[in-house]
Parts: sequence; C-alpha cells; structure tokens
Amino acid sequence: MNARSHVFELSVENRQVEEVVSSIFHTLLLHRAYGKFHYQQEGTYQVGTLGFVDEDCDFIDFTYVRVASEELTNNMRREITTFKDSLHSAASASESGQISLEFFQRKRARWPFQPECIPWEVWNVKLNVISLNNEHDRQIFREQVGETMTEKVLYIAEVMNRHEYLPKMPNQSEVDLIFDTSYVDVQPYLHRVSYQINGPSSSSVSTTMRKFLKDTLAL
Amino acid sequence: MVLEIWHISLDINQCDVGAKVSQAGYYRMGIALKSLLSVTRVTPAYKLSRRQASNDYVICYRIYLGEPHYMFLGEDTNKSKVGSVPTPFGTISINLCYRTKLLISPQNTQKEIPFEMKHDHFKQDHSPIRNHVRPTTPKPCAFGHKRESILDSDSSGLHSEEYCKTTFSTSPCESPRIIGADNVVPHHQSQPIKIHLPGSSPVGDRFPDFKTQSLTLSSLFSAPEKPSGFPATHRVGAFAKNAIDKQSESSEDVPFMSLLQQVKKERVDKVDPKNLSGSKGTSSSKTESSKADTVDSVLSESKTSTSSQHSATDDFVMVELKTPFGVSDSNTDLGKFYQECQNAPPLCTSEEEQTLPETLEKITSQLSEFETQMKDFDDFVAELTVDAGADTSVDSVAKK
Repeated sequence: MNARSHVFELSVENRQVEEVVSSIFHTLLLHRAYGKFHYQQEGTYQVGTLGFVDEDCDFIDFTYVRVASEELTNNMRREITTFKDSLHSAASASESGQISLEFFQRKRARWPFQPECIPWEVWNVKLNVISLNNEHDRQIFREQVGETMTEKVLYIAEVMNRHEYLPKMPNQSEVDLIFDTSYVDVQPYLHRVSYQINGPSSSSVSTTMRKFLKDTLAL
Repeated sequence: MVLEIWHISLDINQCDVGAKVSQAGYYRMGIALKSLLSVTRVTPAYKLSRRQASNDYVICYRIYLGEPHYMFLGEDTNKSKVGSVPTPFGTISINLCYRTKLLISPQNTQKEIPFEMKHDHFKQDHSPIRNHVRPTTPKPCAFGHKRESILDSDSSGLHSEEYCKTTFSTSPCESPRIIGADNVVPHHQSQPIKIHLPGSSPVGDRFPDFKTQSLTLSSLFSAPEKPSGFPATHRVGAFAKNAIDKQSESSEDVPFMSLLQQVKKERVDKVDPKNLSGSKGTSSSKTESSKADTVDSVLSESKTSTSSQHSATDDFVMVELKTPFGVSDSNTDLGKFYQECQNAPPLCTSEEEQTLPETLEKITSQLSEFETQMKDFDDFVAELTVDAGADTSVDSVAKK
C-alpha cells in the first residue's frame, strides 16, 4: 500500500512558524477526526459530536478552524513548539525545516513483535525561514502568507473531498488500530508528528524525497 | 458588489453506486461540511465581514436557484471545489467562486452600468425571468462573529437578538435589522426554496441541457451610501417595498371591513335616520352638521373601541363639548346619524352579484310594472299640483 503524500512549501518569518504549521495541521485534523464512537450491540455504534473553534492568528492575516479539544490542541502545540525551537536553534543563515503529519493504521503482528504501523496519508510542511528588515515589509509579508495559507486550505479541502482511501470503519475490538482513542472529546485517526531540520533548502528536498521513496518502498 | 458565490449542485450523472448512504454518505457529508467550515474562514469576504460596521458597510447574502451569476464577481476570481459528496443517486458538490480584486475602481463601476439597465418589463409576479430564477432578497449577515462557536452556543440564555449580534451566521435572523441603508431592506418572509426534479423543474424546462440542480448563495458587499450595482432582478428596494405595501394593504383591509360590518349591523338595530331628521327639523340638523368636531366627539364617545382601529376616525380628537341645541340623551342618535352620513353603507345592488342578463331582465320587469301603474303616478302628480296651486293661492291671500 502506498501512502499518499502532499508537500507544502512556504517561506515564513520565524515568528510565523508556529501559526503556519498549526493552521495546516489543525485544518487537517479537523477533517481527520470524528466524534467519539460509542459502540452498542450488534456492531452498531453512535458517533458523538465534534465541536470547533475559530482561531485567529497573531502574525498572519488568517483565521483557521480547529477541533474544540484542549487536549488535542495542547499535544499539537507541544510538537510544533519543539519543531520551532529546533528550527530556531539551528542558527543557520538559511534555515529550513520540515514537519510532517502522518496518519497511519496499526496492524497486529504476531507475538513478540510490536504492531506494525502503516501510514496511509502524509502531509509535509516544508518551511523556509526568512528574516525581514523593516516593519513595512513585515506587514506586506503577513498578508502574503495569509494568501498563501488560503491556497493551502483550499487545496486541503479539495484533496479531502476526493474521498480517496481511508481506513475502514472498525469494529469495537479494532478501533484502537485505526483511531486514537486517548482523547475524551475527539477521536482522530491515529497520527504522529515528525520533523526534520535541514541546512540549505536544495539539499532538503532531495533528502525528503529520498526518505519518502525509502519509506514507501519499505512498505 | 458580489464578493463570493457558493454554489451547491447535484449532478445525477455522477453516481457512486458502490457507496453506502448510511456510512460512506454520512462521513463524506461530514468531511464536506468540515471543508466548508475551513474554507469559509479563509476567503477575502470573511476578513471583510469581520470588519463590517453599520455605519461603514454591511455584508448581505441572497439565495437563488439556477446557474450562478459569475459575471458579477468581476474579472479577477478564484474558483475552488469545496466539497463533494458522491452518493448512489448523484454527486452533491459545493463550489466556491470568490472575487480577488476587492478595490472598487471607477472602471469597474462603469462596466457594471449596463447590467443596471432595466431588461425585465413584466410585472414582478408575471415576469418570466423571475419565475425561473428567483433570488431571495439580500439579507444582512449578522454582525460580529462567533469566535468560539461551541462555547457561545453553550452559554444559553442569550436574547435572540444578542445571539445574532455575536454570531457570524449565514442563517437569517428571525428579525433582520435595518442599518439605515436604503438597499438593505428587511424581508420578513424568506422565500422557500424548492428543489424540483429535473423533469418538472422550471429551470430544466428553460435549459433542456441543464441536468443538474443547483442552489447558489452569494455574499454581497454593500455600502450604505452607495447602492450596489445589480440588475433590476436583484434590486431589493423595489421588491421589498412592494412586499411591505402589500402587507400594509392587507392589514388595513381588516379594520375597514370590520367597520363596514359594524355600520351594517347598526343600521339594522338602530333608529332610522329619516325619523331623526324629521323630528328635529332642518335648522337644527344644519347647525349640527356644521360642527363636525362636536358631532364626532359624540360619535367617538360611543365608538371609543372601534375608533382606534379605524383610520378615518383616528384624525379626530375626542373632546367633550356641549352642543348648543343638543340634548344630553340624544347624543347616540346624533352620533349614529353622523356616522351613517360619513360611512354610507354599500349599495344593495353592488352586494348582489348578478349577471348582465339577470339585471336587464329585472329592469325590464320593473319598467313594465311602472307602466301598468302609470295611472296611479299621474293621479298622484296631479294631486300634488292641485295642492301646490292651493298653497300658492293661500300665500297670495296672506300677502295681501
């Protein structure tokens, strides 16, 4: 099985990193999360409700919608902050890095092996951090990034509505193989965030692609 | 200025036969709605809507059936597919087309002038254009926005109007508020949207090739000082005014009818006015009729409850006056008399609906009846002349 992968490439200011990544990841998670499943007899289940919150960005001219789950938001924030800090600490002239949100499903393996994780969708955000000299440029750039983000969200909406492969809705016994059931108020597909800090952007693309090819072939 | 157009359509040619409506349909609809949520926050119109104010500009929306009018978006537009729900019966699609150039330039307004020309000379109700594509009147989107929708909705107990204020909602408020803008007119009844099957649809009749059904929502940007440049079919002011006029007419009908009924009833119950005038004499009745206010005060005294409903009597102020020749007990009679004069009952002939032949027949029979009684009439007239002659002779004697 091949995982679908999508790459977003953006140039951002350092202070915008967190918001750009949050905007994209939360939009993705909104689409890839359901209300909690409450299983009943005879294989039927009820799906709980899912709240949403509008989140205004401070450093981008942008508003995004996220799932109303504090726990999920905190987890994502923690991951993204770590990425941002790593990116910032890599004191390179042309900083760039990539953070990925990967949706996967587990496959039970024979004892004593761990369950196998099979990604089915990977979203990569490749960021090129720039620094601007004056406030005027920053203001213009703020709007530009907002427009870019608009395109990205439209793209996400388009991709989501292609209705490509999604793991099959599981039985009660298999729900942990598909969904992350650790949250009380939301049930997203199993996902993980990984990041990678690179040097110059040209080399990072090839590294990324090589990694993807390797990952894909490995599956 | 049209900012964005949301177009929802059902294409019956694209079916996903294998999809289960109960499961795949449900989840796909969920995804489509989530996409809709996300995308509504990223368009330029959303940013504008956050800054709208009653004294600056308001954003309205209208809904219509049929093909979306993309030409109103201007030259620079972006199209995007927001949602898609493939089902065994067809594919429901949500598409967005939005204006990217938000500046109002002089060239733009000049270009839009041709669209403002009247091209529909039919009456509103009979217009072939509007019968097919009938946009609802633009309604203002609620002000402000709902930042944390879940939390806000949880905090119940908000007054409906307050709720509207804090909600950026595409649903019309129960009582749309006017913001002093001529082009933003409240419309109390939103028109029901009927989605017809392609065969019976008027749209389908008009466009035989049109196989899909669609519903369009467009966001309008309107500044209070400048009417928006839409063609006659989209002008709200005129339509809404008509609707209001109709309403006011119909509401006025009711008290008017009740008054008529009341007068009729009183005619049956009360004194014949001829007797009144006969007993009082002409001189006194003339005096009273010249003092209309006085009489009316009496009238309104007896009709206090109805005068509030009737527009004609609203003009009068109830003043307690003592008429020079009036007797306190006879006020009701006088009041009735005045009212009879003011509100003449409808003619009996107009009440009875008769066909022309019946009327003619009746007239003929009456004429023949009069002809048979002609002798009696002649005798009567002759009698009168004899009396008159006697009177004059008496008068002349008296003068002498």
